[in-house]
Amino acid sequence: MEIRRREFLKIAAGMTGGALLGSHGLDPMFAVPKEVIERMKFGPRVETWKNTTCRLCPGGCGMSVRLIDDVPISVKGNPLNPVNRGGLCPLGLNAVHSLYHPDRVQGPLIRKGSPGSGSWEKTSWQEAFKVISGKLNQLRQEGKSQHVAFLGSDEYGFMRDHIQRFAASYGTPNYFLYSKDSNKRAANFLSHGNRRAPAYDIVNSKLVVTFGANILEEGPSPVYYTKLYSHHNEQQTRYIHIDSRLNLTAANADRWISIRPGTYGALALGVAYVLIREELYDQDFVRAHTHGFDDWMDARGRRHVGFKSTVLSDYYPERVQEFTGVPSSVILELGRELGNSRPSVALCDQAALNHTNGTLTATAVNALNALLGNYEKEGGVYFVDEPPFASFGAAPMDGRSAQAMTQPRVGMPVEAFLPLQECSVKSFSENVLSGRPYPIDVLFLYGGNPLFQSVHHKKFAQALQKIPMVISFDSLLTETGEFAHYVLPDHHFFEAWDIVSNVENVGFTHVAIQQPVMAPMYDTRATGDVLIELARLAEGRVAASFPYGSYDEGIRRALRGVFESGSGAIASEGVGSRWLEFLKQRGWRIDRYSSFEEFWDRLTRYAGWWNPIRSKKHLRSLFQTPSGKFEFYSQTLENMIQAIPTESRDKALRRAGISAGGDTAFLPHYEPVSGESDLPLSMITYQSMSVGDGRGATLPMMQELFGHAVNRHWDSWAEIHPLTAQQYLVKDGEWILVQSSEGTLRIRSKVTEGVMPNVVAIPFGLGHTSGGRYARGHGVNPHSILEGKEDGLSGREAIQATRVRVVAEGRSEF
Amino acid sequence: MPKWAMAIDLDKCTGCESCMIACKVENNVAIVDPEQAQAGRVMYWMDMMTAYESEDTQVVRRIVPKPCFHCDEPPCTVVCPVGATYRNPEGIVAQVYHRCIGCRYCMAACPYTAKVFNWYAPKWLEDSACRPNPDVSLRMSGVVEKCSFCSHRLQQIKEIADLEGRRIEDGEYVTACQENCPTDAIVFGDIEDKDSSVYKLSKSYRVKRYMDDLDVKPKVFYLSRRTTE
Repeated sequence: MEIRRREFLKIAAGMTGGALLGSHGLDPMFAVPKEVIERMKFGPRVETWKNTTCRLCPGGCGMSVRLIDDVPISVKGNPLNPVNRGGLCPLGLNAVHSLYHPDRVQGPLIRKGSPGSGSWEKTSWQEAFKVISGKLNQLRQEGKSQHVAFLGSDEYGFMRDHIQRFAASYGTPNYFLYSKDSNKRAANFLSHGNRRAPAYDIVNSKLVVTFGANILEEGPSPVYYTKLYSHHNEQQTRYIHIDSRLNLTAANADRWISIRPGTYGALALGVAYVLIREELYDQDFVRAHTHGFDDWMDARGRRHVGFKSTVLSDYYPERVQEFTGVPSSVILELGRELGNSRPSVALCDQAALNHTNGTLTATAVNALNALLGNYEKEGGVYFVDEPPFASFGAAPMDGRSAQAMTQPRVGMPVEAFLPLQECSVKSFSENVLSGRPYPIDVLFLYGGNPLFQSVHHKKFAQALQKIPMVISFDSLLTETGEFAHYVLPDHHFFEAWDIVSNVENVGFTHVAIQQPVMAPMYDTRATGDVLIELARLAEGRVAASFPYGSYDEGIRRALRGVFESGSGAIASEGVGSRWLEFLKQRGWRIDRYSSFEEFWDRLTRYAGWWNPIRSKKHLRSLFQTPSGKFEFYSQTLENMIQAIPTESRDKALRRAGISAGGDTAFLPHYEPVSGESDLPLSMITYQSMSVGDGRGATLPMMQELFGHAVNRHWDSWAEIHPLTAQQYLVKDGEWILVQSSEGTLRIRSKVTEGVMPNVVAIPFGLGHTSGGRYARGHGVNPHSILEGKEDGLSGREAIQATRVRVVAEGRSEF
Repeated sequence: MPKWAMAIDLDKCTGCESCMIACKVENNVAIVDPEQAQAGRVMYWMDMMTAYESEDTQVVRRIVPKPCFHCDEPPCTVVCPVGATYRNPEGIVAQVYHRCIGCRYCMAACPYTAKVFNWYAPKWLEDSACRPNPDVSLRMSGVVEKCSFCSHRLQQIKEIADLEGRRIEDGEYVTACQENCPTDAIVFGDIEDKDSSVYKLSKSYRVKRYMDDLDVKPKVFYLSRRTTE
């Protein structure tokens, strides 16, 4: 066939045009409503900026959104926000892509096929409300309101209180958080008597020792820590990072000490040995404010062994070297440096805690801070006050809900567990499957993605299939959301109200405002308002649970308390916390507002409030333990064990993962990680800043950035030390199989010295089967082959505790 | 006439890669599809170099952000057969996309490999929905592109400053990478202005210039306490 010149030109022109637009995706925005596209293309190009708060991770960074004709174009860090002070992480900078994601749920859906089949049918909000509230009312009338459960993620919004209110007045004790931090909370409860996470005064410290705490990448708020880190030169702060892998925090630290996974607690106690032996600890603090350091005698006249004697007899450097693989000379150096360069502070997190002995590791690190006398000291550990929100009082309960609230909770193990335990996906799934203590009929899923993140994903999937009605609020479907019968999509955070307050470890009281920067694009509703609507439709007095008409009104009323307290200031320019402290001491007061409206106007303009001035607390008021002091010897734990009938005490201790007998059981100690396995290597997983807990994988730009450092884009890799690679005949960059008792992963190897020998490190976040077109089918999910181990004390999944072996693909045998 | 330069403080930089994404979003740099990305065709104007090194028995991971160095004597402009890349009077090495014929001589000439080539128009992005920054033109396939020191921002600021009849103040013209850096490691400004912070930093004892022996006079310099490079 002959093509005439005219036609050829036409085709050629069409091709160039298509290529031009296609490469940058301007034109084919089929998902975005027409009027938004019209405004983008033909608007008068008026630029405005609006401040809000990022919700792509729990970090609570302030961001300024650049709008052109009221359409978000890009974001930058809000320089006024005290948490991030103008900085943003790569994921946050990509927030606009998540707003325009082509696979966002655009209206309520009802599932037609099997889970994961992707066959959804549109439904209307009215229809969905009718069915769901019908079910809720029926359960309540039958006295089975406790058969309703909520599963959420532990982020710091107003939503947690909101769901709690609904659950209490509807009448169900089953509101669970799928939490990463239960180990820390349990350990703080044992040492301090409360579950609050303290803040660490890193800037004023001379030495920061991080036990597995990947603060610059994974920490509760990486940008906050990165800002603090940037001052280390002028403050002359030294950083030492202890980890099995050379992650970003280790790379930036002055020293990286590599350690065997799961033995961080032993190292902390080895350091404690050096501090005690060389008398480098704060003797005044230890004498006055701690309990159980020296040998002591209780009220009944029994002698107890103290922390000092235990550490001196059990954790001498040579023995700790055997546990941890850290040379004894390094332990000595570390202890001496920690003791001599005061103020010095020790932190622990992720890699150290997500093991079977995580809670005990955290108590050992708490003990280090106590030895250093760090509490309420410059360059040490302190507690931040709660923001003065207006209180709405307890949610009103009628007879039905009050009765239901006394029922046992489904997320807890059925027998022989210590009250330290929080809900775990494992016990939740087991109880749902066995119908004990009672079945679950309705499950609400808000935030989080346990099916992707949990090691017990198989059981959890079975449990989800057993529940007759599962409702998800996903705005972009997740693996867990695929199992829902109904999806009631939430707004994107650019379209909704919320507040984020007191992000964990941030060193001052603060409230960040998340506010709509544009009108909702789709037929979505704020989950807070959906719950209010469900409460309205419920029978009895459930509707009275919310003293406010809508979620944003609730936020406004809560913030009225902040206004009325007269404390703190709206995030403002150029006033550092030290400067404010200085002014306060000289009798100055900051900003006054004549009316709440004026306050509100300023607050929404700058999107943040903070109170850097912290009332100095007396050391006696810090600890709510039975002794009122910092407890080396945990009487809390002892009392919990005493409360259990004698015959099942041993069983409870075993379940809690404590094998040490006598007094040592209640002291920070090292529980050996179980070594009985014929698999030679340890597998560890970690999160990167770009993909985070898996949410970033839904964005193409983050997928591309994911492995930039090792030249692997859109894909996972397994890091192996050259010695280990040599031993198992693995070459750099070839396909290998990583096999655990639970399954096998096919993955590319990366031979690097940035990881401990005999350890395989795989980044977490890829390997999605849901989450939109960009997430699906790239990389592997290392959590899919993890053994179902957990920390016995807190119930936290031990994601660092799996044994594996590796072999190059194509080579015959493992 | 001002002369724009950038200082990157490696003692502050953590390698968080925020600058890469801030740049990519600001300048509408294309995302390439997974297979092409694996083939090494990813496009970043602000790149991040990672190296593992041994330093007295310890392994160290070095992370260095790398934009275009905007050399005062750029080797890339000399080899361009069509005048598509040139050094403008303010020291910015500019790229004229419509002149570029895609010969990639400049990529070969650049000692810092700061330039990237638009290989093709990735098809799969057709249904991605992201709104490009209207201040920066989109590039067609077959042209070379690179960091422009966010010169579109300079144009806007210049207009304002001209209207008000004043000089551009230090810190008024900021690049996207500098603006979003969580550690304030990137400092940008007029190096001819003796009061600017970038000038002061350029006199620091910590200054290191990357491949200084080539004598191309790069206007991006690093600050580092480390003695080795």
